[in-house]
Amino acid sequence: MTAAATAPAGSTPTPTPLLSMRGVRASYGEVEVLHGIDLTVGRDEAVVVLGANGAGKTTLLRSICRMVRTSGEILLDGASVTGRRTHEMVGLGVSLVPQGRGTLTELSVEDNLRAGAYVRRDDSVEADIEYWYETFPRLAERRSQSAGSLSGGEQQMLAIARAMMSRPRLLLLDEPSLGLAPLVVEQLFEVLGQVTDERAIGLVVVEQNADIALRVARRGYVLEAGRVVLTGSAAELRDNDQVRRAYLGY
Amino acid sequence: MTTTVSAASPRPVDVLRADRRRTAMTNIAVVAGLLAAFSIWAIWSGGLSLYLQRVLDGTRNGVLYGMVALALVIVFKATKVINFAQGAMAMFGTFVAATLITSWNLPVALAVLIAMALSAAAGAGIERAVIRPFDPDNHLGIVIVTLSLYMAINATAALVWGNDPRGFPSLFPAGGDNYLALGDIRLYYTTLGSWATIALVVVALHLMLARTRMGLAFRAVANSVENARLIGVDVGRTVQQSWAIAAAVGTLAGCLLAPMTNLDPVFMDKVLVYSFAAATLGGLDSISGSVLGGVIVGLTIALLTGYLPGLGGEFGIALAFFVIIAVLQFRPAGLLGRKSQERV
Amino acid sequence: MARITLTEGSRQHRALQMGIAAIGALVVLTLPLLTDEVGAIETFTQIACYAVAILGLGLLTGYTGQISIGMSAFVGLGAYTTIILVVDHGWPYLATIPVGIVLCLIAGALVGIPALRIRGLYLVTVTLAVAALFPVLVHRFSDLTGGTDGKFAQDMEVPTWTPVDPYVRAGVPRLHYYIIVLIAALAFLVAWNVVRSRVGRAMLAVRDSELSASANGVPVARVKVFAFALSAAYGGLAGSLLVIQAPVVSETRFDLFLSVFLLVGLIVGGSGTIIGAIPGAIAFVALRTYIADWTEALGLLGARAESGQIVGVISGLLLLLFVFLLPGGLVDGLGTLRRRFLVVIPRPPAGWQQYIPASGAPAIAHDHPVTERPTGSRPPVPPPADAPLVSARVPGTTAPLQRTSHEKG
Repeated sequence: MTAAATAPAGSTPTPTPLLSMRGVRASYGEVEVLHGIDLTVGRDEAVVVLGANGAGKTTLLRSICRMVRTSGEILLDGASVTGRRTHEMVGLGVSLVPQGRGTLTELSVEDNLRAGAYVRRDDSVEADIEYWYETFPRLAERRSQSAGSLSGGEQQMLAIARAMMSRPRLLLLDEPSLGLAPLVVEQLFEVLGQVTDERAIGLVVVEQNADIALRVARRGYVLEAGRVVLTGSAAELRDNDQVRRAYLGY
Repeated sequence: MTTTVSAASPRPVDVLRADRRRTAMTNIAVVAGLLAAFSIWAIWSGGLSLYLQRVLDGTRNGVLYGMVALALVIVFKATKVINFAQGAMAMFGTFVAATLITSWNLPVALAVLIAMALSAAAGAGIERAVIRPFDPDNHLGIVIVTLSLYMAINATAALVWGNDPRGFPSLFPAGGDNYLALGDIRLYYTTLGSWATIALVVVALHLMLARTRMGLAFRAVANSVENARLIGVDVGRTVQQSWAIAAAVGTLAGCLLAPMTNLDPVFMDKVLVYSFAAATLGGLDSISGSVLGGVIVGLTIALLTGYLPGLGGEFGIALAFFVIIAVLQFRPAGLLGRKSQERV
Repeated sequence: MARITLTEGSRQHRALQMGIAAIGALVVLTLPLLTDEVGAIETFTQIACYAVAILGLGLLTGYTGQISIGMSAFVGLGAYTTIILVVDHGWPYLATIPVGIVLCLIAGALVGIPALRIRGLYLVTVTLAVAALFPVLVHRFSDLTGGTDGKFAQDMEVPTWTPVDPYVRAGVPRLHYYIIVLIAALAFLVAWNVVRSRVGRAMLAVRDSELSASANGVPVARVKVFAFALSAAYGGLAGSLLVIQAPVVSETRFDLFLSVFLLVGLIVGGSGTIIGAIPGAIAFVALRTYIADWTEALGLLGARAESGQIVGVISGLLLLLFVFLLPGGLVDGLGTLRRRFLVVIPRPPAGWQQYIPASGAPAIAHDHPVTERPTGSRPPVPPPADAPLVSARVPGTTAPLQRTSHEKG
């Protein structure tokens, strides 16, 4: 079943999307926070979700990871995941980098990377760890330090490396730029771009920093008070007046 | 492939770890200092051999308190729950071992191992049935559940086996001539055996935590339940495993203690209070701390009751009480624990 | 059956409340007259004593949220104070009660002080140590306390001016009943007033969120120490009353098990209520007295039946059952039952009209409406609570780009 017109003109029609959300509502107890979200992500596609604080972006990601009660349809590669539990989602190839970075602060950097590969049973784990040390040399320098002693930028690098260690097919990032210096953010997104170019991985980046996010993503959604109010290709969003005024500052 | 390059940083220093180490060293130095001061007086007043003998006997009990404390800490690290039924569970397991020995004529070591395995299964079952349904922040609910387990298990043991104290054979050759003579001092095999056992347990635990997948899951859960889920850890199952291990360790401690104190349904109750003191002293989230705490508590009780006979036999509980209050008041993280206890 | 609806504070509601109170008072007053069996009367008296203890625990644990299994130490302190003063110093029973209360107030406050920095399960451990310590202290000072042998005293004397005939077997127990129930009723009255006062609200605030309470000016430390002291005083009072009821104490009577059983009583009765202490005490006494007798009488488990053990097992299981099925206790369960037949509509606070703006539009815009069903048109979306620096907001209508997916291709 194909999603409604997700691809910009000129590219080949997409097969079953990697992630498909339809009419998803999410609540915390009695309070409904998402009021019917429709969203798709292709299997090699980077998607950005923009929105102000309180719009429900984090809840959106948590819904995908089954950390919050939802109603509506969520399909991963065509199969429903609403009955799954959070830790099972990792085994299914979904990896979340939450807003707090999700690093295991009392474990060393290296143990964090190893922990990222927790669900894997193959023997390329060491090779992957080396790859990430090459990509983020600062992590290599601090490999036996406890993760809690790292700076914000380093923790974010570790968080992304950790999430990638499980070789996910869908990577979810919750405001990776939060609290980081612009230079570090640039480097981070550069790596993200590399990573997504090199492999077929779906990416959902939730961001308030629209400028840099729209550079990495191919498509985007704008979330407002629990609803998708706008969606389009990155270029279209960038050109949209309201988006520009609200999120790009001009 | 472009790599991310940042400004070269000076040689990385793990500030958190260094700070923790310093705090731990200070704490231990304070306690060691106090003990040393008392020891000097003790040696001066009673002689070296007597002192060393008391030290040895004190540590024999102490490591066993430490073992029960270890069981408490294992569960606490994974769940932030203090299992008030730990002593009762250990007592029950010891009774099971005793039954295996007397009714089935199994050798002691085998009976203990089987009892440990059965305890592990029971621990897992208890966690699944009555602990997991609760929100971890619901302290009152969980306290009540563990207390009711304490009552029910105690009462069931008394029903099944009666209240009369009975003997329990020692795992190691005991009493009489079974000691190593070091000059005037007798190093009983039971003491050696207890040390060896706990050393084995601690080493096994450390290896498990550091090297195995289950240990990694456990450390992740101890750090942050939510982040552990995000790497794919089944938190429920990991917690269940921690209860199983704690139950087995508790039973082992019970089997080692029983030969000295005789086995009856309440023999672990006092030990539990000592173990709380030991775990609190060592730091409720530190495995080595619990053992260290146990040794210190055991040593202190042995030395103080030995040299100050006016204190009386029940002194241990009073001491445990003061240790608990003093530690929680002044150094809530204990000797080796992390300082991030509940603040605000 | 049709449901009756009453408004709180209306005449019918008041009449109902008066009626229930009158019936309750009648029952309490006539209870000992309904039977001549001394044992039964003594049981009723015990229920009153333990109700006071459970009430004290409820004030600390149910209302202030400080979990404590140290209550047995204070009950013991009150009991031993009374009996020592009576036996060794010839004091009249009733005069020992204030002494016990004062001692317990002090002791309770002392225990409360470490509680200021220690929370949650750590606190329980401290209270456990307190409960474990008390029998040890009793043993240690056995010259004073009688140690393992315990202490005995003469029954409280019947004053000559009372209408009770001391030669009727049930006479003296009946007198004890009335005196104890009177004192207990006073204790309940005091508790009821505390709970409805500022202090009571402060206690609830501390229970629900210490941080918010403190941020709102509640003196958390003082409230906690007060709660500990007060509950200890109630425990001490209960201990003194128990000794009046049956003037015998022993080393093992006030141990950790008693604390745990009192907690059982609290949960079974209903931990956040005053009145719950009564069903809780009934359950407590029933467990300790009757279940043991029944199972022995029924000959369950053959000749080795140890009644104390049965009680332990049943109490443990009962507690588990309640925590899982009826955590609010019997009071909560009865309340649910009551609501099937009778609903009391709470009265809104005085002067509530001033909070509704004239236009009818909500005074406070909500970012996330609590319950909302999708309508055809989008409701106007107010600016998000913390809007980005640029204050312009994206309107709720879709832009002429990709429509959001309600229409399919």
